[in-house]
Amino acid sequence: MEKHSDQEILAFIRNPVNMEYGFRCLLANYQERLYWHIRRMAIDHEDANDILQNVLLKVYRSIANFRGDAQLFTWLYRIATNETLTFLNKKQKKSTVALESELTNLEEKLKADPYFDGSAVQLELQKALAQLPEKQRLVFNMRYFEELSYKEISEILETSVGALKASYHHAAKKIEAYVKANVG
Amino acid sequence: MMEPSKDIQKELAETAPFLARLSESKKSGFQVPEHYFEQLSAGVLEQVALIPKPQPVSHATEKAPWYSTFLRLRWVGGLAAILLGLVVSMYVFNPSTSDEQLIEITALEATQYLNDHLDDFETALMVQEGLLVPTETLELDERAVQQYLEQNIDDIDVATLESLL
Repeated sequence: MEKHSDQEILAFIRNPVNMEYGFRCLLANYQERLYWHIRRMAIDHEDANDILQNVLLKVYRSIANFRGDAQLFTWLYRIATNETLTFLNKKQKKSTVALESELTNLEEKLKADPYFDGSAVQLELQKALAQLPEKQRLVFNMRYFEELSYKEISEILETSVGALKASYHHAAKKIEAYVKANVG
Repeated sequence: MMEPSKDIQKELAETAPFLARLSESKKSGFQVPEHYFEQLSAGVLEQVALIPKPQPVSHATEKAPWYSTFLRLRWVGGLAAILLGLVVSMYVFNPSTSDEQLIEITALEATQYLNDHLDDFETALMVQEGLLVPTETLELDERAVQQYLEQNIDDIDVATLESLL
């Protein structure tokens, strides 16, 4: 499929004749990035898959009315982030496990996960990330793994650049300390 | 869209030098099932086909015409006028107002009703309306009462006698 710009995709989608093609182009351009964005927060592939499907259906239902005030990319990321946080909060409410047990569970879960083949360092990094507050984890992922600019993160999370820099700085320090202590 | 990774790496090296040296940690270690993304697209498009096509709403970046505010006000004004008309007509044209109901009642019916529901009305109110003569205006002749009592003493029980005296 030919790669189209956001403007072209939106133009296709706004024309009822080309809407389905436009949506296919949107999937081609963004589904993978959205998946990884969600997966890094959700950890589990099945959870990430469920969240992503909900996100894409939501996007389909509301894309025709996308005002274009923000970039398409920002709007998609915002939906994905909100959907992921809602999912994780619901899951958290159901769970009665303490943080320490959660970390042990995470380690066991990742070791048994057929879709995780990370090294010892990557495993420790995931454990370190799991200890961060949700917002710091989100900021760290977006900056460290997805290499987004603070401006982009700021538009997605609707937070000031200054606050994001502080969040990232704190997160990086905490992760460094944890990984240093746990990686030989 | 993305910031050059050199800048991000430099920033990380200043904050967390140990982490910055762990290049392998840049990869999360997560995998997806084979052909996952192709299947995802197909699955989503299948689900989307079941959803009625959303109708685009035009988000005019162009300026609204000068008369649009007037039209909106006219619409709201029209609705308000209709509501007001309905409220007024309820009072003006409603045939079941209490005065009109009373006109339709004959004097005979009214009297009959009062007789049947005599206990429901306050004496003072009935006197005020001229439906009852106040008791203090009844002047009984004591001699006549005495005579009546003597003639009918055997027919009157004690309670009635007490009430008359």
